[in-house]
Amino acid sequence: MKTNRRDFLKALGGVAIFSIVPRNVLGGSGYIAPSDQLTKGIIGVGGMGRGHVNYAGTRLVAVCDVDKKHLEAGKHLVKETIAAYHDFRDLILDPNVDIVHIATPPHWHGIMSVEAAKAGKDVWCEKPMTRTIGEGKRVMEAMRQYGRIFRLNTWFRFADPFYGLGTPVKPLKKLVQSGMLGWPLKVTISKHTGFDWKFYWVGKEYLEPEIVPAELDYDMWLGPAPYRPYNKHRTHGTFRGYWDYDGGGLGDMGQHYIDPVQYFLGKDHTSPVKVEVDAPQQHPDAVGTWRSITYTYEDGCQIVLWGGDYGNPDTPYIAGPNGNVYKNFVCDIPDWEKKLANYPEPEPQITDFLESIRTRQPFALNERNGFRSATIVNMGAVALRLNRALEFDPVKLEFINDEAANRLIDQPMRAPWNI
Amino acid sequence: MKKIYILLAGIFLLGNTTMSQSPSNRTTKTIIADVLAQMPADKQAAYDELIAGLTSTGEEGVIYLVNTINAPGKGTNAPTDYALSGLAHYVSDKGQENARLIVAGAYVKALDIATERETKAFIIRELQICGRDECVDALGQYLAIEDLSGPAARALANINTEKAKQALQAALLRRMGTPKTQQDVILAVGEAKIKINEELISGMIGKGSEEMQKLVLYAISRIGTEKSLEIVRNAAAAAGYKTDKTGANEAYIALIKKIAAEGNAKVAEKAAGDLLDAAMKAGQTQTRIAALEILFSQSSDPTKLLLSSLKDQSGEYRNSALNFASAYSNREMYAGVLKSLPKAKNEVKTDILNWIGRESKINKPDLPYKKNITDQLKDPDLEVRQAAASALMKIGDISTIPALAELLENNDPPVVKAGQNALESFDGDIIPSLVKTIPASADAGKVAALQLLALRKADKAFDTVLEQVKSGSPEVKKAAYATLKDVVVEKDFPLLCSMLESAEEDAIAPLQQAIIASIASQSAADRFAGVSKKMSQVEENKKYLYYIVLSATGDKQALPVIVSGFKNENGIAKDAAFDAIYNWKGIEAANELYAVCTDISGAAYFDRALTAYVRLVSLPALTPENRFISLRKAMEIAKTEDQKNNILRRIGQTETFPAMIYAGDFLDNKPVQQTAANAVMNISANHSEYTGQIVRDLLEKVIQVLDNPDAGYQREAIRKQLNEMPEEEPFKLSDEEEKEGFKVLFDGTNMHEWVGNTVDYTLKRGHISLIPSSSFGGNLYTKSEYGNFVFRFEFQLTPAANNGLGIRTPMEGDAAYVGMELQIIDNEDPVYKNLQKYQYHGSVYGVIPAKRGFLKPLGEWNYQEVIADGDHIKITLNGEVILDGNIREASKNGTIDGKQHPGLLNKTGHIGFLGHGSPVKFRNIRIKELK
Repeated sequence: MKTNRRDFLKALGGVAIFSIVPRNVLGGSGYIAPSDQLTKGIIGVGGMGRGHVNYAGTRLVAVCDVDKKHLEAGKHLVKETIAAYHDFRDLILDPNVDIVHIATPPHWHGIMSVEAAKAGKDVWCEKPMTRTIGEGKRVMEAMRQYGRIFRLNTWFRFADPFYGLGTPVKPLKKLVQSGMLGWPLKVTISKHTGFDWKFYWVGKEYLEPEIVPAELDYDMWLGPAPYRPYNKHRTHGTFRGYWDYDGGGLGDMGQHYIDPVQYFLGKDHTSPVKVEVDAPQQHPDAVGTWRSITYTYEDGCQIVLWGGDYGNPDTPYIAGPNGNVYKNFVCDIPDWEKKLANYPEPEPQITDFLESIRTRQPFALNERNGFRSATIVNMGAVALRLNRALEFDPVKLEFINDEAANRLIDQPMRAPWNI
Repeated sequence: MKKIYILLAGIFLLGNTTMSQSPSNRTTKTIIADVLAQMPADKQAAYDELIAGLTSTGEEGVIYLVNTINAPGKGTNAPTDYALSGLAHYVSDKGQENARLIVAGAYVKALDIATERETKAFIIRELQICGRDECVDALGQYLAIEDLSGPAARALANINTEKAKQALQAALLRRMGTPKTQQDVILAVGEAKIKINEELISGMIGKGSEEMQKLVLYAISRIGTEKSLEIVRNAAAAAGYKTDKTGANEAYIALIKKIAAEGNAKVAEKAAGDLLDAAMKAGQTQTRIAALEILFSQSSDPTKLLLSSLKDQSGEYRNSALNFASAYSNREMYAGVLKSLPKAKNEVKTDILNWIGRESKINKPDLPYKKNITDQLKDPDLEVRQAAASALMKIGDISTIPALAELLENNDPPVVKAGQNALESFDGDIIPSLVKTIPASADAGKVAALQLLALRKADKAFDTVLEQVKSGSPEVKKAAYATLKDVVVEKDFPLLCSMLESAEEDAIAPLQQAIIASIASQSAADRFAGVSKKMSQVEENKKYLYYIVLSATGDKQALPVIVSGFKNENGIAKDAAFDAIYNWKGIEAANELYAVCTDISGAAYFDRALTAYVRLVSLPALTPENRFISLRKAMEIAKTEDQKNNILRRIGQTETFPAMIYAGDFLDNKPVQQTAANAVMNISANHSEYTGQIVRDLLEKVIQVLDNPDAGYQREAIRKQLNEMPEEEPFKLSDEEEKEGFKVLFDGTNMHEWVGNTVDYTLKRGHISLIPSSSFGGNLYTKSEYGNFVFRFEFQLTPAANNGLGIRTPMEGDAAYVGMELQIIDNEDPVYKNLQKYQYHGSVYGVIPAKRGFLKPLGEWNYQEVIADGDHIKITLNGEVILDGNIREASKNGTIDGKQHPGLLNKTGHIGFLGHGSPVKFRNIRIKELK
């Protein structure tokens, strides 16, 4: 029986992966020195991808980009000589790559994640997970079908102080799950508590066609997205302003801000049943701004997003029938810290991606809960584009009685791409 | 205001409270111009109203709009995009079927008319939204045309009716088009799962390019049956049962899944079993897993399948088996797995325990053989123990708490950690078990138990903690001291005080914290009284131990005591008094801290004193102005760059005008330049009322110096702000106008001369700004009536803006007819390509056309003079006479618009701005009456 590189490493036992293994232990005829580390390849070495070279315990062995200039820069991310690919499928099929790291614009995330799963690779994917609900479903199915580990890369559900709250999410989760605030809860995510929806990611409604730069394979950059004449504002650095590739500030920051809320509300397995928008009409191509987006769960919990400076600055971050949480984690329940001590801590999560790969236990933010928070973002995008309230079935994962909205769940792709 | 409608009394009943003029009876072109000028609608109601209007224009409107689409690179299509896509979305709504049919029909016609490839693609994309069966034929024509076959195939796949399927199938059967268009069609066939003769597709396997193969295999995996199984399997075998660019392996898996889902269990199970073996030989774990998923879906005995899968070498495979089994888990399955647990290999044990934990969270099962799990807490393998502890925590049976607590008694720190993690998140009373475990534990276990007691604020366990304070090893002692503050209550105060008074150095800080915590529930005054009393009883050289406690009482009487300590004491006691001032939470300490900063003898305390001062005077207890003044004082004595930057940042946060000017003084001071620039920028952004040349100059300077990754966006925002910043001086008549007898109607400071819709027309520093709240902005009139006059004013337009100057008009009714309307319109905008001449800017609406082409570019102020002298009307725009005519002459044989203008020859009336839904600005308005 052939053994792939990872099975081989695993056979040595978990600890061995993380320590230097003496050459003689592994030696033999035809011996190729295996690394003590898992290897990874990054697809998309523009601004995002180049910022993600180092996380402990992995070794970069391949990069891929459809822009020759980016690729050239990517090749020099590490001192060693590494493989450089134009076509992401070549990187995915490279037997030296254990982990596929996807740092492309979102319209590629679904396809690349699924392709990586087919090849038996584990996946690290930048947010937002996918730009349609349908692609998110495909990613979930593929990870399960091929037994892969998936990490969506936003981290606020397990690390770092959470914007204006000034605290990691864990104590918020403890407070919420204790029930002391009452139920249902309303969470308002706005600039007033430090959550900026970055309206500079809006598209331009009129783009003059331009000559495609020689270094860019625009056809491959577009991939599954509909063809539109090239203009540089569509691509590197500003693509978030166009519905075909992302969803503006909502797409950029949505999972950062909303995923921890799903987590502390205990909604990782479900989705809101309703989304309402207050926004100007959206251009079919260029993403615009909005005033508010309101999500309601079946049990009455709500997540409210306020764009720009909209809304009352004194509104609590979390409002409940028995208490509120304000900016800087100020809670108005008397003596709440003492009362809260009687409750258990939130359960530990696997926050080391390599541990997750080694033990095959789901990473803290994986394809399933990641899909749920991406779905909130994508529900918002669909409601904005249609400029109306929508009802959603969190089990069937489709909008209720709204054909136009359901057409935006699975958006057809440009040949030869499918998922 | 150019709308053409008959005034209906009923409209006012339907409309909103402002003088919304509902646009009934408008011509198609007028409706379209309104839509184009007002899209994108800001509010849903306005959007609905506009699109409903557009819908009423039917085919004519759509075709008109499509004709206005510019070729790529030949000018913006944004207004048309908004209108057409709004229309497509609107009519595809429920209850709009008739409108949808008309609109879709119009798109189909427009598709023929359009010549540009991009225009056609745009229309097809709109049909993808609103098209249904009736569009199939039209779309089908494009299936063989490269560049349009993609959108057309996608639209047809979206329509997904029988007819759409036939159109796609026909394109394949006839083999029309090129390989590229064929690919588009095959992809669409696959996506829509069109049931065509599968051999048509499977016959293409192995032929054509890699990309073609990929699509053919994808399509066959979506529409194929048992008949195609062999040929696809052969392709997968050729690919080595692993993924390649053709996707043969995945197509084979998908096809077996499809056959299984369609109920052909026997064939599917056999194929999946064979695939499992083949993938094993090929060493493709992920393919084996995929085959296993199918086997689970077909298995009559999932428990048996799971148990055999758990014997596999590959952890990926075992864990996938457990994941798949979750869909079928029941008591029998848990029993089977847990019975196998004691004899399983270590890594399998870990997998099973992790799975049991996950299952417990989801299904909360009543598990058999629970003892087998608890037994694993004693397994020699660390990972097994960790997994067992975690699983027990998730199961949450409180009878297992003692067993978990026993892990703390282990000598191996990672085992202790596993127990601590499990207990931390355990939902139940863990305190008694912790208390029990401490004496039996080694240091690591004791520390863990103490930390858990602190986390649960276990005041019941105070004595246990105290015991460790007394007798623990240094490490344990430290942890016990740190725990005290979380387990004390009021009655512990005297004991803690006596401990403090005799404490070794390391213990002082935690004991002080514990004392503070013990009296936290008292009032500030009681706290002060209690602590003072203690201080009075203690020896002089121990008093300093209480300064920080005094500070934490927050009682105002405490501050002088501390300050006097700072002034009079030396050494440790002085330091302690300073710490107490430093930690004081109220504004009262600000002056004391400033005094420390300016006192030479306080040099050692300078940095911390300044930091604390700045923190306190930045509190909202002070007004923004006072905060600024206090911070400026700090800036004057600040020494380091860090200090200065910090102060400047805080100054910026006061958001006062003096703060902006002050920060501006530092824009050339390199070390603090960026902080200063940010301060100026942020204050200015939040306070558009701060205007004038000084502010302009500061912002220009900021644009130059900004240096950070977002600077590009920031510069753009500042420029926008500068453009919007108003002139400030009230308008004054020139000497000449003064002499001639002009009178000011609006000088930028008040709207005393105006009545009507003062909700939408508001005074914005220096000008009247119309921001329409409803679709049509309503009208603003002069209070007085004027007959013959010279009227001079300035106005600024926004893209496609439409307004009008009414003269000699009553306040009710449409001034264009009941009085006279002189058009104000951005007639250069492409949406007005097809305006009638009598609708140009300056025209006497419907009566006398004006010359076009003398408006200033958008965003600049236009200057216009209107002379109305009897029947003679003369209009001069930006120095050019654009209209000079006689209204009586012009209307004697009927007006050119063919409408009745009963008010045209009114002798007198109001002058008014006639809103038409677009933002417009006016300023510097004056009039001279002619006798």
